[in-house]
Amino acid sequence: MSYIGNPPAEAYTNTVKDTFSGDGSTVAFTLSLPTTTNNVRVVVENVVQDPTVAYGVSGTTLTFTSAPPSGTNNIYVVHLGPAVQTVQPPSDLSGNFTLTGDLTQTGDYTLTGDASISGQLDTASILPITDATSSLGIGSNRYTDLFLSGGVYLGGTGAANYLDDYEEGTWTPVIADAETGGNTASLANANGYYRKIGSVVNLQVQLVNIDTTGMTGGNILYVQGLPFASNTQQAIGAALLDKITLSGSAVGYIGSSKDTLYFLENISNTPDAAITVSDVYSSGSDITASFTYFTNS
Amino acid sequence: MALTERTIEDKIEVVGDFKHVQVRTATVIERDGVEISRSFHRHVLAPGDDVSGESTEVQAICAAVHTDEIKAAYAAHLAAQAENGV
Repeated sequence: MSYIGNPPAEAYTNTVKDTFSGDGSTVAFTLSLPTTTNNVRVVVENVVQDPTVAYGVSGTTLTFTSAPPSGTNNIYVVHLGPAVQTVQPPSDLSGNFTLTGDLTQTGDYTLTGDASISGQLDTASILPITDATSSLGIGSNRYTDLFLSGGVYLGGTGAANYLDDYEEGTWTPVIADAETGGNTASLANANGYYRKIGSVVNLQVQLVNIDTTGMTGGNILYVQGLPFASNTQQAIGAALLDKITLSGSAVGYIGSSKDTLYFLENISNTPDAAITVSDVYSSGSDITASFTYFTNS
Repeated sequence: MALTERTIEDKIEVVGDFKHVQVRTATVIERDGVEISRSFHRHVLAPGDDVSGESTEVQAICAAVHTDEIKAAYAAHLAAQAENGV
């Protein structure tokens, strides 16, 4: 059926009625809600009272200008548009919901559907509600990249489970006849690459057409310029030495707390011997090697 | 659209008992001022190394940490390893 006028309001506030019993002497009565004089309809003995003339309201106190007569429940007050002290939103909020201000949630929040956040989430931490039961993403709904200024704990929460660094880059290998300084070889190509995962460094080095002219033949052949100094642990690596005189199999070697490496020959029943400059052909020798070692950083 | 390249020493670390100074040089490629690429090159300076070709900042750090005491200790460390045959 059609109607004339404004559509009915759909607010979820209740109209409140307070009832009192007069005793012929009491002029002040306490209302259940704070209000103002013109926001209540006051009826005594079923006679509507004139606001400000017959009564006034301040906060929750209704004060008559003269005491209403005695009677049981002979005074009632209807709050017209009562002030709402607490608004409880409906338990089922459907449709779009736009919040332009801040939302502070002190209790638990259960979201069973999807949530779309286009802005930033300002939070000190986001924690699962229980320990070790939730995944971040699933096989079919993965995140792309993860940016962390710190590290990540894997498989445990101790310092030994903490992975704090990944880095890859290049370094410049220099062949020299001393551990520091010294005479250096010329090379057609000298390529060095590294990948650092936590404190573990994987090192690749390729030296092409080593020319040892000007170097001291009896000195150890060093490769200077490692990207990270080793820690106190020594390390060995695989090495392919082309056109270099060997008496046994060769391995690469990084000593403790060093930023250089060199090569050793494993000779049966003989102490290890370092590859020297004179073991290298004067030109055309190549070295390809790979190492894994630990660093302090 | 302007592409620019610049290199910076974006990380300088002092590590280990002998105060090795690890220097990371970043090559940064920017398009109109927005970084689109960053690659790293590294080298290490041990006590006693020639640092004359380093930046003033690295030289200052090396001067501070590579004291005569540290240099002597590192030289002794190298000599000890050489005596051990490795």
